[in-house]
Formats: sequence, structure tokens, C-alpha cells
Amino acid sequence: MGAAFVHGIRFRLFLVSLVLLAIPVLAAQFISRMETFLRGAQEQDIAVTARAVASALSDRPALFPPGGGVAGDPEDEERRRIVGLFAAADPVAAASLGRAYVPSEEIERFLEIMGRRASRLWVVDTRSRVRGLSGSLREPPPARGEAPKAAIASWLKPLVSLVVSAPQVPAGDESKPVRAQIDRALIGVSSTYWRGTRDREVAIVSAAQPVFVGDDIVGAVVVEETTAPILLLRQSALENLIALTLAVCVAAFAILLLFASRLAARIRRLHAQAEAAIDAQGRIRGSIAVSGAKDEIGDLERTMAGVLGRLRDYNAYLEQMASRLSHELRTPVAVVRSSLDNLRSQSPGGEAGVYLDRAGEGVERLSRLVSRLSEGTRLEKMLESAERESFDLAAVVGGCVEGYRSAYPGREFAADLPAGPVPMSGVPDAIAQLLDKLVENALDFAPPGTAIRVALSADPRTARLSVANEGPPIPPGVAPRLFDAMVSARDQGQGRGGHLGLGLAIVRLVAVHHGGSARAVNLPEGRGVLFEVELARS
Amino acid sequence: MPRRIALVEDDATIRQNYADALGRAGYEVQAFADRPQAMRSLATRLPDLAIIDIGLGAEIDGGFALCRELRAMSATLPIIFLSARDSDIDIVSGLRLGADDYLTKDASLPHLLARIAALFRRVEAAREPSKDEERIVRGPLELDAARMTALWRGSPVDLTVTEFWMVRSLARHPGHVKDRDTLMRDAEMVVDDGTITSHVKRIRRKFQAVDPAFDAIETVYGMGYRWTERP
Repeated sequence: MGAAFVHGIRFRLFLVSLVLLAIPVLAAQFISRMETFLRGAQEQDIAVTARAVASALSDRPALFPPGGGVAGDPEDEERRRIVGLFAAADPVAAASLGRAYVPSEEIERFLEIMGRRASRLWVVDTRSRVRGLSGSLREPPPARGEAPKAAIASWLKPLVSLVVSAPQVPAGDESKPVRAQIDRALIGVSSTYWRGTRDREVAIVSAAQPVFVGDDIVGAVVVEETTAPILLLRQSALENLIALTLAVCVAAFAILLLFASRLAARIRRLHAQAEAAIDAQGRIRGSIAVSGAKDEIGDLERTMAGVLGRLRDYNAYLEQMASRLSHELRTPVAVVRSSLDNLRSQSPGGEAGVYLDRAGEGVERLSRLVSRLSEGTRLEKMLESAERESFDLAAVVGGCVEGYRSAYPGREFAADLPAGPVPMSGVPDAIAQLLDKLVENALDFAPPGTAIRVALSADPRTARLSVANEGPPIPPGVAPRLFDAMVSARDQGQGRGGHLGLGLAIVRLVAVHHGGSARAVNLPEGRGVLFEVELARS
Repeated sequence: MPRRIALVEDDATIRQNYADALGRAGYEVQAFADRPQAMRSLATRLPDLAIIDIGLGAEIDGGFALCRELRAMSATLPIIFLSARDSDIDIVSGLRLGADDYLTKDASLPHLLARIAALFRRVEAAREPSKDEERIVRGPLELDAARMTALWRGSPVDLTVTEFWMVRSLARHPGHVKDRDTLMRDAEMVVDDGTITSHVKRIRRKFQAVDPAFDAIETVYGMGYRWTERP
């Protein structure tokens, strides 16, 4: 079954339909492109925001008083402290910035207005003090009902990561902007910078922009955003996509499987019909039912039915040929015979009489041959019309063997028969004829002085009748055709001219009529040939 | 006056050969090639015996039709079918139509002449009182060899000449097995074993039509047949 399935149409179609898997892959690649695009857009976006905040701040020089408006500690010491504080800072707990966090109320309010959702804005003055902080990179708590989606996402993740690669950026500190970026902004270089987070999927993009008041740089604006929203978008797109393609694939598989099953079933049915139409001997026994379907399989059915019909006609023609030939030959034989008879009645004898006798012998032989030709057809008709009767097979076989002993006194017949009667139903005359043919055949092949063994055995359902002789083995390849008409294993010219190979065809005919079969086997070690006939007893 | 035999045969050579042989045997022969020709002539004057081929030219079963027409004209006219066909169906059909015998074309001319002579003997004997030496009585069976008639328990059994000879051969030595060759010789048949089997079958049927309990002809498989007498 397994091997049959692997070589079956359904399995092949299943393999072919794996092409469908390209759809989700392509779609995922498209989504990953979209993500890249969205990231670029986000990058530009926050750069623009940073620039806008910076230019807005530069219009308000008052917000950056010279000297920073902070009581003057020595600058270097102050800077070191801030660096340290930055390192410990939690962006949300802005208070922990301690003295480095010198928020200006105006800046904070301004940032509130300018700020974007899900982005974090820093305003740093030239002394690296954080003058304003707004927003948070913390993701908003997931809305209700999204949890199961996350669950799906979690087992899909390895699958998804196969098709969509996360942006490969080095991880960085999530809590505060990158120092170098602020420093570069403070010397007038605006930049954007990507860094990773603890979550491999999420990255932070930051843009820094110097704040000019006149020609002086008074500070820097840093805008940060995570890619979490994009990720969320991607996730939901992927989930939709996967759900959709999964549904499409399942549906497509189901349809294909159904289609393939139907196709396979039709082909199997055709196969079974074709198999059953011709029996082991190559004779046509059944026919192919034409379904009327208009597709290729329907065409095949029609063609096979047609071929089978033509073959049947041809076979019938061949089978009738012998009897037709016999019928046609009878008339010329009758012409010759009656002419010879006429001639004989006129000529007194002498030398002409000798030749006349020989011609008569030849015609006699020809006439026997001709009548033997139609023997099969005649027997077939006889079997069709004969009534089945109950009889004792053992008695028939026993009687026949007695008959052979008296008919062929020079030969030895050994009979191995069951002690009791073997009742069966059938046509006893035909069975006797069958045995006659088997024995005639054995007599032709058995070397002189060897016995011909006739054996009968029976079980409740079948009877086995066999005739064995010690003659030469059947040449390989001939055995299956031996029971066909006109096939003979005899050497040419060996026979007495009376053999057309119809005898064994008659054996098979009778056996088949009795629900049985006939076969010929070589006995092991060249001990001869055994012809066995199986007959159904009821 | 020589007996007149009508020969209806479509093959010219065979027709001529048979006509020659019949003529040499002292019969007057009227030969016809087809049914209409034969009917035209025979309707005005019936022959003493008719030999008919089944297939007559274009008419596949013309012989059967002719037999039916002749039988309708005369119930006693002896009719012999002589055909290349040897299937049981043809033989049974021919005999059912009222033919007295059926020969295949394998039969030699002497065989044919013997049949004809036997049929004439039967016709003739029917008009004369029977002679005892030609009678065989085996229990309920009475055979009159001169008239070629058979009686079973007093009822006539309608046997063809061939069948009569076979019954006579069997009944002459009750209990003896007659093999097929002997039967064939006694009935002057040139046929194969299968035909003997169907002949015996038909004989049994004819006796069973008179007496359903008839079982005097016993098959000895592999050897032949024998006539059994039961008290």
C-alpha cells in the first residue's frame, strides 16, 4: 500500500502542489520588503521630527540661557557626573537623572506639544545636561484579545524568522541615547542611528539634531523610536497572511486530493476492468463499461472498449476459422472421395487399383483431419446443450482406464483412484473425452515400455485428475500455450499426420466447462510430464 | 422399373459424381442444383427417395425448407440429408423435420448406397409380412431387420437407419460392450467419437419418449456401450 501510494497519482499531485508553498514565502518576502521600507520611512520621519523640534527650539533662545542657568560647578566634574548618571538612568524614572536632569518647564511643555506617540524626545544642552525629556519607548500594554495572537506568533516565530530576517544591528542601551550621537550633534552634525535591544526583533532608531541659536549650538535634540509598531504591523500582516495562505493551501490540497482520488479511482476501475477482460490464456472474457465521460480517461475507456471489441471479433474469427475451414474443406474432400469411389467401381484393379487404394487412404486421412478441425467447436456446442448430471467420477475414470488397457494391450496403465466413489455433477461423456485426449497425448510421448499413470484425488469441492508419462519434458515457454488450439510441442514430422494440437484444447474446454482448469508441468529430475485437470465437483 | 432418386446438391462436381454412382447402382437419378428447380419438378411427380444438401447455393438452409415441403407432400417419402455440416444442431434439425437419415459428406459412396438400399428395404418390407428369422426379440425390444422397425413394449420407436443399425448391433449380443469403432462399422458410419455419443443420446431419447424408464443402453466409459437386459 505504502509503495503503491508513493508511486500513485495522488502522491505526485501532492508533491506538485507543494509549489503552493511559494505563495506564503513570496508574500513574506513582500512583507519584509515593506518592513524595510517602513523602517526607512520611520528613520526619515524621526529625522524630520528632530529637525522640526530643533528649529522650533532655536526660535526660542530664551529656553537656553547662556551658562545654562545652572549654578556653576566646575564643568569637567559636572560632565563626568552626568556621564555616570546617564549610565544609570532609567528613561522613565527621569528623576533618577538626578542633577544631570535639569528640566526646563518650558522645554518639557514644548516637547509635550511637539512629541509623537511612542517616541522619546531628549533635549540636551551643550553641557550634556538633559533639559527636557518626553515620551517613553515602553510599548503600550497589549490590547485585550491580542494574547492568543501572540501565542500563534510564538510558535510561528521560528517559521517566520525563516522567511523574514530581523534587521541585523548591534545591540545597544535601551535606556538612553548613544553618547557619540549627542556629541556629534553638539558639534553640529545631525545623524540617525540604529541600535538593537534585548528583544532581537525590536530595534531603536534615533535621530539627533543640533539646536542653533543664531550661529551657536546651544544644545541637541534626540528623537528615539522603537520599531515595535512596525513589528506589530508586520506580525499581524504575517499572521493574516499565514492564516489565509494556510486556508488556501488546505483548500487547494483538499481539492487536489479529491480530484486526484477521483482520477485515480477511475483509472483503477479501468485497470481492473482491463485486467478482468482478458484471462490468463489471453482470451477475452469481459468487456469495458464506457462511462461517457468526455475527458481523456473517457477517451481511453472508449478506445480500450473498441480495441477489446475488435480483438474479440478477431478472436472469434480465429476460433471459427477451424470449423469454417473444416466445413469448406469437406466439399472438395467429398469431390475427391466420390470421384475415387466412382473410379474404383469402374476399374477392375491391377496396378491402377493400388494407386486408387493409396489415394483412398490419403483422402481418408484428410477427411479425419478435417473433421478433427471442427471437433472443438462441436464439443463446445455439445457442452452448451448437454444437461449436467450427477455421476461417479471414479467409476468413469476407472472404466476409461479399463478401456485403454484393452484398446492398447501393448502399453501399461497404472491407475491411482480413491477407494470410494467421487460423486460430481457434470457431463460424463465430456469428461471421458477429456481423459481420452490426455491419454492419447501421453501415449504419443511416453517411451515404449513405460507406464502411463492416471491418478484421481478429490476433496469436498474439487477433483484432481492427472495423467503422467515418462516422455521428454515440455520445452520452456510452451507450457502456458499448450492448451491452445493448434499449438503442439511435438517435433515437426514426428506425428502420424493426424495432430493439429486440438486435443489439449478440448481438455481445457471441458475443464473450464466444469469450473476448473488444466495445466501441464514437467516432473522434477526429468521424470516425465504431468497433465493435471482440476474440476469443480458441484 | 428402376427406382427414382432426386438428388439436390449445389456443387456440380459432387452432384455429377453421386448421380453417376447412383445411376451405376441402377437407380434413375434426377439431379437439381437448387430448391426452386427441384420443387418445380418434384411437385408434379414425387421421387421414390430424395437426397438433399442443406446449403443450396444462396439459400443457407434451403435443404431444410425443401425437406419440409416434400414431407408435407408425402409422409412416407424417404429423405436423406447429405451435408458438409456436422454439428449436432444441424443433425437434430434435419431429423426433426422428418428426414430419415443424415450423412455427412465424409461418407463414401458405398456407404451412401448402403443407406439408400436400407431405406428402400424398409419401405418395401413395410408392405410385406415380416419373416421371423430377421426378427430379434430382447425382452421388451423387438427389432425387425427387414422392415427396419423397432418396437419397445409394443410401441414403435421411430429410428433412422443409422440409429436402427446401432440398436441392432448393441441388442444382438446383450451384455457385450460394443466399442465405438464396432458401432461405427455396424452402422456404416464414418464419423468421430463425438458423433457416436450424440447418436446414442438421441436413441435413448427416442426410447424414453415411449418409455420414460428406459435404461437399456448403458455407457461404459472409455470402452463404449452395451445393451443390458433387466427382468
